Amino acid sequence: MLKPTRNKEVIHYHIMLFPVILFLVIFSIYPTLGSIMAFKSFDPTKGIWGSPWAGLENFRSLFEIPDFKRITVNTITISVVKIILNVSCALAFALLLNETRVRWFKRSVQTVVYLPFFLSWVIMAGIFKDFFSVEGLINGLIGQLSDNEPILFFTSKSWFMIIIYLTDVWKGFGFNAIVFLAALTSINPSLYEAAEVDGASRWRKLTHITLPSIRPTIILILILSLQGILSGGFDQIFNLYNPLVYSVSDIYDTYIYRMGFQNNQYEFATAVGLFRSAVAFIFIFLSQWLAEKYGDYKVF
Amino acid sequence: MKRTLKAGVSTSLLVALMLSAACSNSNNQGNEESPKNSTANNAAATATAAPAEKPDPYSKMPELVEFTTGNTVSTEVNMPAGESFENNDVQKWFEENLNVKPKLAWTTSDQNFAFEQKVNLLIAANTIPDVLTINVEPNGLNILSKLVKAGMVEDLTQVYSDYASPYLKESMKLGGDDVFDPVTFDGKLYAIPSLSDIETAIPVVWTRKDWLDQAGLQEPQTLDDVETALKAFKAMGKSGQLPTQQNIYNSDTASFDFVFGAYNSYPGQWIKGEDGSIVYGSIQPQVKDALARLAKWYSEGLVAKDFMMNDSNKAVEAVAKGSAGIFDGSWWAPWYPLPDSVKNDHNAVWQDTVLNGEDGIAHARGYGKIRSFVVIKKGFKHPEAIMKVLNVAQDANAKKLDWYNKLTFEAGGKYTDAKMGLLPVSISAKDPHEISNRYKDIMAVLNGEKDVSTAEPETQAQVKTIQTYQAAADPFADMALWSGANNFYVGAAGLAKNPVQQTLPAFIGTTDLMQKKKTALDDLEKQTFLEIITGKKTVDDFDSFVTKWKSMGGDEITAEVNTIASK
Repeated sequence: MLKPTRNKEVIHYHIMLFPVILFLVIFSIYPTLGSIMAFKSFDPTKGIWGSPWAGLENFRSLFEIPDFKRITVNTITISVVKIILNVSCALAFALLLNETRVRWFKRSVQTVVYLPFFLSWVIMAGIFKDFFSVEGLINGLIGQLSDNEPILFFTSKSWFMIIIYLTDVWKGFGFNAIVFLAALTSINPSLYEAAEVDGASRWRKLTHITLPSIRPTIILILILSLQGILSGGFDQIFNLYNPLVYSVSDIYDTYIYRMGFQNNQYEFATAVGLFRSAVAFIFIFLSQWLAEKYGDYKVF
Repeated sequence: MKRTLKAGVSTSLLVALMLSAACSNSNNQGNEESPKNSTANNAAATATAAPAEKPDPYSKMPELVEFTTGNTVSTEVNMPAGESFENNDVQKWFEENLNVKPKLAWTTSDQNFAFEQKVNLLIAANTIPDVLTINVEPNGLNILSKLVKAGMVEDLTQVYSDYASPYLKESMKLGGDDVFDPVTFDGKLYAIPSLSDIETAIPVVWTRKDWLDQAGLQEPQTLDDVETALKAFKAMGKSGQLPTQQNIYNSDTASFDFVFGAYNSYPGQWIKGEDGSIVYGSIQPQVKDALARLAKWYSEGLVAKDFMMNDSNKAVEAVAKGSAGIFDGSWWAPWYPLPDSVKNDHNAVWQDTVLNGEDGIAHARGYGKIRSFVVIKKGFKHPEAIMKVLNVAQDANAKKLDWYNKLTFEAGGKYTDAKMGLLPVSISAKDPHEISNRYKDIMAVLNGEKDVSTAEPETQAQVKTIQTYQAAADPFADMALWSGANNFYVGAAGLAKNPVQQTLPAFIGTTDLMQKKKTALDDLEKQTFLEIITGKKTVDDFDSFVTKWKSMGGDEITAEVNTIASK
């Protein structure tokens, strides 16, 4: 889709890209070199580079720990469900909003649903904890409307996961919806005009024009989310979980945090992190390949 | 995780707030004039600093010595406007009299082990500040061995023998001959320890006497009495729930420590087993009985359904609001959380005691011999300057310094309610049973059995505070005075009601295997305990937990601990 262009024509893009590249180098690429720690037995006075080698020792213990399978399954499940929910909710919302005629309404709704995206999970977690607590708003309503016992949202495994998914969608769908809305505006209006001439209904227009037109965007967003499949959302889970729901909510990142920063097993935590990155790397290639195949999109 | 906060508060309370006194002739002046010549020869032998002066524990440094340090800051800090840890009258005294000045390199929150995490990261980055004070709990000794192994901290053997004041050296002996063992490596002293006041670890049950009187009940003596009291409070329209936080043991406020104690069980601690070897407290059969009791409480609604979501601040909100009339706390609860309760309800009368256990004996957990320690970064030019500060700190903490008492302990003092340690670096060496002994001493003076002028400075200071409080027109006008007076008068009284048998940890610290495997074990334990309490698992699942714990590396760790301890 993208054709190679002559350098002179695109130089300003490159300049605009520079800060981002710099950011990546400082915060992503340079620290990646430290991953070598995973193969070392870390000695702080000798630093990462000077520490003695430990071979694959750290990886061996990684596969030995009983939690390893659990966190892998949790991470992938949580990510996949989040991706599907986020994309479908955002898409449905964008389509609905796109049908709205009143401009100011459309604009303001768009802004409002977009806002939570900018709130930190540290704050959100505090709010949700109060919201869903035994004496919180939700349980208060349940108590008012029925004789049911209050629901322990944060200690029941199923309820906890529902809360994780719901709050994640609530926080993120506004952002994805904007991408879809942008894609929607780029659809050639003459297509709709032609359909109207042919007497197509609104539903027909949706299924035959709108959806096919933004199909590449949908697939692209789905595929690109695949790259984040091993992250699962550290800030959200870390700020909300407790030992009772570890079995369903503990993911790579929370585990790495507990091992690395609370137990100071930097080498081991790095090994987990490196392993996670290696698998994520495979997913990136997979997503690129899929993007090329189904999304008509090529990055490299 | 709240444990460090409160431990910190308790130490800093002891350190920063309980100081005062009518002692006009402080020891240090005498010492300033009589340098210890006997140790002078050794001074030149110190590898790092070869001061020209004769070692004098209290003399002024010839030129200004600045050192960097790190600190925790609590949200309760209440300093006069414009003043800070680096800039206040206490610091000025040290600058003028010792020529030593601290510089705060960083601060962390006092919650969730933020300080320990910061220190660990700084070790990993090899950028520790010049001076650090590290708590032994949860893994301070492990941090120390890391620092020593990495060669990051100074050998203080010579500095201590040359510059520690006679009073400090004398006081250290209160901890026993082996008090320096945990901080000594290959015969070299790498840290100056603070002794534990082991009674501070005792979980006491605080109850509202006014409500109990109304209900016609006596102060609870057993777990059954606690149940009765909770039910009676509920019948009176108060909360029938025990304020509880997510850390169910080894926390000083709103945990289940008193329940575990009543069953003579010590989860999370390495203790001496029946056969004399060291065993892990969490897998002992007594814990099962305690969990059974807690599961019963949970199902009966005596504990909040979502207690595992609360930190201790959240848990004790009910105490402040005047709905909860019973909670697990420490003897120093008059500093936290009681002031809020009393401020809101002047009629609230609190009392505390240690429950008699199921076998009729009041059991309680304890601390190890040392509570925290001070290390100095390798290459720091004037470790003797820090030692001098510590000498003064020891005097200050024993309430021997008039100027310091006036500023930080006495009623109306500038920093009496600052809720922050102001000494540039602090240390405290007191009798491990300081609290109950002090209490007896104070009561002896108050009852007229002992003449105040013959009492130690600390007793004099405490007595003066209590008398000032008792003479005050409005006892609630100055809450720092209220706390200061009631701390011993009411709080420590609870430690003396029933004779307490403390079980002290037989091993503290983290081993190599623990580093590798304990996270998984701790996760398993937390989950299992919470699941048993909340009824998701039966009490009998405790047995399968024990089996699993052992097979998941628990047995190996236990063997390792025993090997290390027997050395």
